[in-house]
Amino acid sequence: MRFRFALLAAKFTAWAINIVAKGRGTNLPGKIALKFDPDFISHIKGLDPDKTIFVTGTNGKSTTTNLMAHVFKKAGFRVAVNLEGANLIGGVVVSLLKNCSLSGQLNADVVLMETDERFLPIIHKQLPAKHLCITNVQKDQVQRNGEPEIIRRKILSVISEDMTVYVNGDEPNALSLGEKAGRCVKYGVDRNKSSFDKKNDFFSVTAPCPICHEAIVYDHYNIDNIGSFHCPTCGFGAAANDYLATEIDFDAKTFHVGDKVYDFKYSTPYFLYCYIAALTVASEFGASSDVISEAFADFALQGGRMETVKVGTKEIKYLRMKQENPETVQSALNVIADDPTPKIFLLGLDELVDFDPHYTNTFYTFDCDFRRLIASGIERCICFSGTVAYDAGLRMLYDGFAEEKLTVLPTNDDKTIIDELEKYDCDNVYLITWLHKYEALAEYVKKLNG
Amino acid sequence: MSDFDKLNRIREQFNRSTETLTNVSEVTGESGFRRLHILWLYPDVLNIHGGRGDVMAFLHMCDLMDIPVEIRRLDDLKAEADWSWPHIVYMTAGELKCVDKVAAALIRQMDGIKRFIRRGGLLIANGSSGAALAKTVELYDGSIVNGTGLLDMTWKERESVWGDDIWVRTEDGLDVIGNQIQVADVTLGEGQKPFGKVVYGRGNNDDGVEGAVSDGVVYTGVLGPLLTKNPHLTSGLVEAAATLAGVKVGRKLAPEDIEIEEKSAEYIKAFMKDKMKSAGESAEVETQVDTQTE
Repeated sequence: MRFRFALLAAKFTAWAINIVAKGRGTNLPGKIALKFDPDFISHIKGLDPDKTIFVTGTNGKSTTTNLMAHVFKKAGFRVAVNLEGANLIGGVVVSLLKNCSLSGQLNADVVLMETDERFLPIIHKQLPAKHLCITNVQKDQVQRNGEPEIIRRKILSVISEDMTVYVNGDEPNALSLGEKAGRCVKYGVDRNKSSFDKKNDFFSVTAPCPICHEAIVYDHYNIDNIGSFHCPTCGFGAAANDYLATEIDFDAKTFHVGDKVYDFKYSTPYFLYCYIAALTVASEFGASSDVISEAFADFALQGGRMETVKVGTKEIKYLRMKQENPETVQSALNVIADDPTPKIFLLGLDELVDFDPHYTNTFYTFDCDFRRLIASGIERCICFSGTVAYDAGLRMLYDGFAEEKLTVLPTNDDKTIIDELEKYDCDNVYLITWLHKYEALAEYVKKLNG
Repeated sequence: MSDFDKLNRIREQFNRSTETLTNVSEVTGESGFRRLHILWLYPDVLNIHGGRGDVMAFLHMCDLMDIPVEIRRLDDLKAEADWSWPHIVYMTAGELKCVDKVAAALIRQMDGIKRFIRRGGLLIANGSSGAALAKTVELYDGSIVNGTGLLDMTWKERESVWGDDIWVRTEDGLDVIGNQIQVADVTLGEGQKPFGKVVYGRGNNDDGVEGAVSDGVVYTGVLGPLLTKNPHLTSGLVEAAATLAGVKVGRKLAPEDIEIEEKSAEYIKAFMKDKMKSAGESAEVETQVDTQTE
């Protein structure tokens, strides 16, 4: 009775929100369902943990989930999925609600949920998925996560012998999580023309082994802190991946798994890991290589990999980064560095305002390497922020950027930033900042353009 | 103008396989001079919070002050360091999980470490790497790791992380600012001197003090990286170590060398002051801040 009431109340709320603000993602219906029935999820009929997949990890889980859902749908599965990135318990409930009848019967063959790594234990308690895909466990949002090990332990706490985990075999923390599972399927990416090492940098560091805590050795990196590695002390990391992307061609946008060729429209090393993760899980669930290939060929990412806004003749290309997450910053820097033409670089780090206390962390940028970006032809770098503009500028200087080409604007004022940008002739502009700052700037430019 | 060209020219000359780096080709002075020796301990293991920036800051400061310096790194926890070589030993911030191996490696070398400290060496640990200098560390699962006990402090892993800005004033009146990501509460033994008093932030255990310091051994949890953000601290450390080691200091740090760092500090201190005000902290605190700064 309680479940029935919760279901109807939540469905009504979802319907009302859709009338008022169509397409707006919200957790409110989920919160209402859980308020009336704290065990709401377990009361849904037809929910099968054996057909439930969670995708978790620090980076790449939204794209991986989107790709997986696309493949499953192409393969004819009915999928309950939280594509909007609502990855806390409320978001999971909302996604299940959408696929429930008024009697509480789930109308889906597969439940696929992106789950926040920090809240995974809470979500898993309600919905004990038997399949867990782990993309990576890296430095991220240190104000709440502290150190990667804290998150690794949270994920480890849900893994049991009756589970199958799908892990990035090229990332030490993710791979280590497979050891406790009943079955571990490993995926990875072969060495390719974008692979690199850090042996030329005296200041480069690797990482402690998640098993023995001694230093890991990377034979090469495919993206920052992900690549072929081994621990010389305990031998961890030497096993072969079950699914390996090979013969990677970033220009032709293709890769192989075995003899089969797959397209990957978003042809960066970062996205390639999302593709191979999706391929691995979909294959294990019975999707054929032909269907996966077909799905990859027409997959379109919501929002794209890069957003642009025009100011006069200048095109500002915005690259997203995650807060306090050096790997996503490095990926963004690498994309810009791949453009050898002259450019203006706008860097808008700022204080972190996710929750109290707001604070001024920029130290994670010292885990990144700006030198390839700096060597790629930056005519002017404009660092802006109400609080940490000088810290951002200092970071550029430490990696060799010429001080005379650096402008530090200790403000977040949109007009000041755009006015400064317009002083320079170069039309090729890249921007790294928080999403909310980009949206504010884009809104300002929109008004400016009339 | 803060000249970073030297740092980047030097950086191009050395790599991981050289295992040592020196600025002698860049600093002025006669040949055959003594060098300041800095040992960077276990950087592959103690690898978080941008800590490598601290070692870059050491190099940059030595470039600015015309101090010939040689920096070596030791990554192998099983190897024995030559403790007669360094004047400064630095451990960058690492994960608390590594305290077992790092502490064990240091305990194994304790005779050398004590000789190093006796002859005036400076051992500094930043962030959670400081746990290796504690007497004991209690981890999340209740297990106890024995540290070196070089500082009279005990650590206990917290159930939740505390992250915020921090502003510390040392006994010498030096302001040190940065961030704190605290995964363990730190309790000092009676008589153990802290690194400094907290002007803003949480500190060791929300008890008004931060870090710990005794003869030749320093722990502070201030991140930033600590030494890029606090050039006066960095210059003080290298100058003191150079003087003790008989290494020539070519020039004093000039205000124009660190204009950008000073500007950064100005904005970040203002941000912390605003937080104190909005938290309703007393006018007394504000007065204290104002009188303590500049």
